[in-house]
Amino acid sequence: MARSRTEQMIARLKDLQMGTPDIEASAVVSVDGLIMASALPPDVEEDRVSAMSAAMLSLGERIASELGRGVLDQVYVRGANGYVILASVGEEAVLTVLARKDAKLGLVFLDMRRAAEDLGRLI
Amino acid sequence: MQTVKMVITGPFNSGKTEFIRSISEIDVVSTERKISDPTSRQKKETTVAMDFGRITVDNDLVLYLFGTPGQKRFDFMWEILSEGMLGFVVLVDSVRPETFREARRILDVFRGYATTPYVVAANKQDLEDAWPADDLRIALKVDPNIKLLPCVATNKESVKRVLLELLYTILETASD
Repeated sequence: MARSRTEQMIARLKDLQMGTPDIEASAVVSVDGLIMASALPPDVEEDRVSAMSAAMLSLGERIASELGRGVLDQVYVRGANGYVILASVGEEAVLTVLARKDAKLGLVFLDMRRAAEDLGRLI
Repeated sequence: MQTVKMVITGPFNSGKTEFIRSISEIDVVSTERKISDPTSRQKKETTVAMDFGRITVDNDLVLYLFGTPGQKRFDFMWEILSEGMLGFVVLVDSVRPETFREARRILDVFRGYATTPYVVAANKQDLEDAWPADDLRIALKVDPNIKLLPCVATNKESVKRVLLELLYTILETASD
């Protein structure tokens, strides 16, 4: 039986996390801040993370263009305990990834880009 | 020169972005995104982070306007945007009574952030089904000493009047 789009998206997110153990959690969110698919830890409030991801990406896009940096590629937040990285998935969605603090970012970025391309086809 | 930060808030689709666009002298910094949820498709796009506009009142006074998202899931932005505000406007969609309760809730949330002056603006008064401002005062249980002003957010003069009323209230409170 064919899997639903959400199931396929979740499968792709799990793939991403399996292939890059530095990635601890991930989610796909619509640009207006609603969850589409997630592989987040149970203690994370999905709805809030979704809304924040959409707000952050949209501000990122505005500041990149306002300051002449062109089309936004990704938003990258570094905290004492790790990273939050946001990238757009086509025109409609955002991929949000949580990574460990000692993550190999080159690999994380590469795998995120590939996942975003695949997810874009599913949306 | 003095700058005054004002926050423009209110429920989903009450006209906050339009309000700021009507009066801002700079290109408004907007963060509108396509609405994906088909049940709330009263319009095509909605604000997900903030709007920002500016209006010079005279040589000594500039207003900075910060518009909030209306939907509750973005309420983390409300608190961020309310920091340092000297007053706020609660916009009410006068043609949709089902949003009045939410408008009242938002009003209370913002009063909780800071004890700054505020005004309530009964927007969309140009539409036939609009509740008159006096009826809205009763429905929303707005205190008699709070200004409740009729408003048409697409009309620059109407927006200007609301902002000046808030400004006067701020100045009066400051001189008390």
